[in-house]
Amino acid sequence: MIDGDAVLANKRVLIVEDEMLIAMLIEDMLVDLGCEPVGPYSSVAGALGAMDSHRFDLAILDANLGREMIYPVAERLEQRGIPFLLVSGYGQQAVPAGRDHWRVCTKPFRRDDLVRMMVSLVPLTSQ
Amino acid sequence: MNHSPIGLVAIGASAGGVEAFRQFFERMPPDSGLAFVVMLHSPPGRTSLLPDILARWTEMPVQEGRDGSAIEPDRVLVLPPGTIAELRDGYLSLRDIPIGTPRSHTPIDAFFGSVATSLGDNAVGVILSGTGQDGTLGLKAIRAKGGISLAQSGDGTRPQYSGMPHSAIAAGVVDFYVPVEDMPGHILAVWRVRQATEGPIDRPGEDEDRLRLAICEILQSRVGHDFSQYKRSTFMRRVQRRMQVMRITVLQDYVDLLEENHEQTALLFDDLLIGVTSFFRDPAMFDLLEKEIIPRLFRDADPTDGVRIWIPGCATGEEVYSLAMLLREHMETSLSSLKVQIFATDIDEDAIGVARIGRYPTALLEGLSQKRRDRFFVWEDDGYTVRKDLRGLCTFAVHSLIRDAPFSRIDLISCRNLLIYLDTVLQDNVISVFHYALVPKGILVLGISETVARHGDLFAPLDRTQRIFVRRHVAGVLPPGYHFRSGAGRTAMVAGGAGQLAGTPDRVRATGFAIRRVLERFSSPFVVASAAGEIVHFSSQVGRFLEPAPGEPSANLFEMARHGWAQELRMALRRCAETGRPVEQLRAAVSADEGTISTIRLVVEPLPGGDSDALYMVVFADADEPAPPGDPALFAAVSSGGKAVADLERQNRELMERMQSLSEEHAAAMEELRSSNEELQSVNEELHSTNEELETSREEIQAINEELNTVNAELSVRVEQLNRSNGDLRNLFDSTNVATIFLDPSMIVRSFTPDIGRIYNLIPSDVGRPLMDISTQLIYTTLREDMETVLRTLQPIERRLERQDGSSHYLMRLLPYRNPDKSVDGLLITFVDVTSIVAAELHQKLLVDELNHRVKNMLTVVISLATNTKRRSKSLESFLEVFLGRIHALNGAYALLSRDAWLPVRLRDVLMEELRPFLTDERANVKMIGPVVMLDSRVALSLGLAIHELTTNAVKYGALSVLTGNVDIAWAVEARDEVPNLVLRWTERGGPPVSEPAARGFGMVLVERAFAHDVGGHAEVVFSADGVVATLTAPLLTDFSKEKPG
Repeated sequence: MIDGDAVLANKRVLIVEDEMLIAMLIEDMLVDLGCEPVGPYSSVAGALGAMDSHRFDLAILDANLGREMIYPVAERLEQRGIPFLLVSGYGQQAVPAGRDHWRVCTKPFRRDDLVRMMVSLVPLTSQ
Repeated sequence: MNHSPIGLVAIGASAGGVEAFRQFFERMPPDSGLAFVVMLHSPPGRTSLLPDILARWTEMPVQEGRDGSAIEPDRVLVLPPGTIAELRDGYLSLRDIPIGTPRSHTPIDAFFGSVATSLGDNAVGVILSGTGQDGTLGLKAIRAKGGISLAQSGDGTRPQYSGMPHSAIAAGVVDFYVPVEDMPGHILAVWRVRQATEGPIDRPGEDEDRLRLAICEILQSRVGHDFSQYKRSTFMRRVQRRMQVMRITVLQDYVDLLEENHEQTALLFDDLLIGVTSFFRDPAMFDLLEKEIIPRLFRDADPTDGVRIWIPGCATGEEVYSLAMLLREHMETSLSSLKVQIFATDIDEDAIGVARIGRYPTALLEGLSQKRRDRFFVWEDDGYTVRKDLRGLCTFAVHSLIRDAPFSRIDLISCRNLLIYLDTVLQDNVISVFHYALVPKGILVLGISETVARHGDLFAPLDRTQRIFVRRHVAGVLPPGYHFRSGAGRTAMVAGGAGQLAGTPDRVRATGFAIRRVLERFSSPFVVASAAGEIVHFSSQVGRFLEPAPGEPSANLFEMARHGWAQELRMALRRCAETGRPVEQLRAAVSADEGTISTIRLVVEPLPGGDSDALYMVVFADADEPAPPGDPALFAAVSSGGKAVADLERQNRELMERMQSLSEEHAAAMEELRSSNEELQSVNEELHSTNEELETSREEIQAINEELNTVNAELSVRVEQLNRSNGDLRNLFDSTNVATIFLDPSMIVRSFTPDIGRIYNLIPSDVGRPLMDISTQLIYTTLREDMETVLRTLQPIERRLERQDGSSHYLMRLLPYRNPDKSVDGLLITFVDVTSIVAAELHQKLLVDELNHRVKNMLTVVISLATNTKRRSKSLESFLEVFLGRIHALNGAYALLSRDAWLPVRLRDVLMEELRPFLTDERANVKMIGPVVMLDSRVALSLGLAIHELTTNAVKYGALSVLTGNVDIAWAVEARDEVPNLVLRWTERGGPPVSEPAARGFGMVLVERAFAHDVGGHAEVVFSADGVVATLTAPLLTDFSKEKPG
């Protein structure tokens, strides 16, 4: 088990999730880890707006926002070099063609799985 | 006789038969109790459709006859083409005609013959439309065995080809010559009568005997033939047959009919003589011919002419060939090289056709020894055909004994049972014709009961019992009115001749006798002579003037003349011949014994008759006046003799010499004529043989024509069926919307269905082009490879194809095209439009994905709920209570959604799910007011959870915690920023006083945060003094206003 607390402490994490209960769950987890949640946002438009108005180190994105997919947000994040983690019931299948390097955390997830994947995303320099 | 209960109707036809069958079977009731066998000329090696065709027209079962098929009542058997069929003991016996053997001409004869032999008087033979003569001998056999024969007549439904029926009629073997429509009626009537009169001939009674004799009497008076000595059973069987045909059951009625109706007498007579002309009928007579007459013919025959035989009325030819056999046998045993010619004639072309072919079914060969069968016949599948060497002896020709010029220099005439059909006058004529045609001492053979007794002057009996006569060498006279002409006008002359012949023969005869007696006793001596002086008749008492000349016996008037009258007679005859008028002269004659001189009136007078062979009457009459004085020379010669006589004799010698040279010249001329005649004869022979060849060719062509007609009829039926099948297929194609292309093995378009137009740009003129050249809307790059694979492996290929524009999807099947014989001859491509199926599949996949997503999300939500609830719970019990309540709320909303298959649900239903316990009669303290609003699943779930939290809170702390509290739920749809928004207000009243808690419970957090977040709306919960007031606003992103309100 990785002790994520040290690595993730004080990181600002953007949450995009259309299901409030899940967003609250992630929020609680991040707070427990010492992170600072940004959001949650429930739509692509909301998330893109947040990218302009907020600073953050990491993003946890629900792949399927019900009416829309998260991909434009992921693309923008990749362009900016901000690491992100997709969360989806589809697992790695949720990744569009040509984006196989995007990481996906399969729903429903366990706390430890989410933490380990978040840790692997944080650049070593900033660790 | 076989009285097996089964009656069989055998039906034969050729070209045009199918239509006739229809007429027949449509009128034949299915329960007649009769069995039917149908035979249609048809080329071998084909499957006949006739059973199917017939089955449309009759309710009787129709089956193709097979080897061993039994004849059964009320069933129709169709004989298959290309087989020879026979009936044996009630079962069919079929033989295939081996491929390559000559075609069979007379399968109907063969089959009918076996039916006749097998069933006797239970057989009915029917001949319908067709060309040729097949069936005639078959009907003959059936009739000869007591069966009934029918042929299709020209009235009513005409036979399309009348050759076969007409041939049967011409041969006189038909009982009923009726339209085919009437045949079933006739057959049934006869059959009923036959059953009603079963066996009366076996019960002789006085009454029957009397009536039998009455019939014989009628026959005797009408046709001059005495049948009273005929075998009683045979006679009565024939009578019974006629009665059946006339549908008469009582013998007395039949006798009455005979008395009234001359034609009926003739028909009965015809029946009684049936079978007279089979091979070697009347063996005793043929025995006599073989042992005595034929050797005599060969002995006496003129070496140049050979043996010439004439058989008038030859009918179907059996007698002709019988005689030919005897002649051929004699030629072989005696090594004679004499030419033999048999002229066989009959009055009708159709009658003679059967004889010409010379093919007989087995049934008609009875009475012919196996040796002769082998020697003179060839077995050809369906009958015995006369061998060529026998056939070559015979010349068949159409000829009327009454109208046409007779044959001449004939050595033997066989004319059996023909005279009985003629009246006395015609008989006399015919006898004269025979006398004319025969050489001196020629032989005449007549039938039983026929006689030339009244012509004892012309014929002398040779054998009375067998009716064989020999020609007397007397001057015969052809009957007056007999004209040797040919071609047009014959018919007219017959009428004229008959007129002249009218009269009572007996009286004429008596008168003739009287005249002859008077001539003998009272008249002057006379002779009848030709212009050349050949005497054809001497009267009595002529010896005074004529005497036999020395040397060979001669009947020459000039040579026989006494008194040196030769010169006088010659001159008188010539003068008479030149002028055509009588010549009279007075001459002195010396009585030989007394030396007295008397005066004789010499009269020469032409007799009426033809120009070529004129006859003259030379009368030596006693004259009262003295000889004219102007004839001193003669007088001197007679009285004194002397020098004058010598002069006269010298004169006479000179004249005789001149005469001699003239005579020699004449002989030379005659010789030339004779050789010309020979040549003509040989030319004639050649023409005959050419004619025979033509006849054979005609037969061949006729047979082929017949087959073509039959094939044509069947083809028409097939074409009709094909058209129907084609129509069926076309309708099927059109109804299935299966686009189809037919390709030949080189992938050339052979045909296609109209639906293909949606896929390939095919127009009708593209037939014949390679499919690869045709442009298509399909995304399909491996078409060529696929086609080659299917052609190679013969395994079908199936593919999903899409249009380039993605608008349609097709299931394509590529199959080998198989001919009916299973061989592969190209390809078949079908396209089934599966666009809707593809869409459905896509939708299903979406649903599955959505479900997956929801399930995983839901589990995550549950985990999240559990985590959050646990954070705010004081004890495990309270956690469980709150947690389970929330889970149930979720479940309720989901249940609602899944009930409606995730389609929009009504707002009211979502509310009811949570509030139902408080809407009962006991606690009707919840009111709901608002329009029908449809919610999508997301809003429905969030709203359901929010209402759960509000309700839970109201039950615990608010208006629903006491009986007096009320909750009002009111909602409306309002437009905000042009988006319709659901605005729902929850107002509590009458509950315990409430105040805003310091830390809001997770429930309220859920209501406010989750609702706002999840639906993109807004939620506000206010804790006023009267109670909780919550306002929920959610944009209705999907407009359901057009949906049917619930």
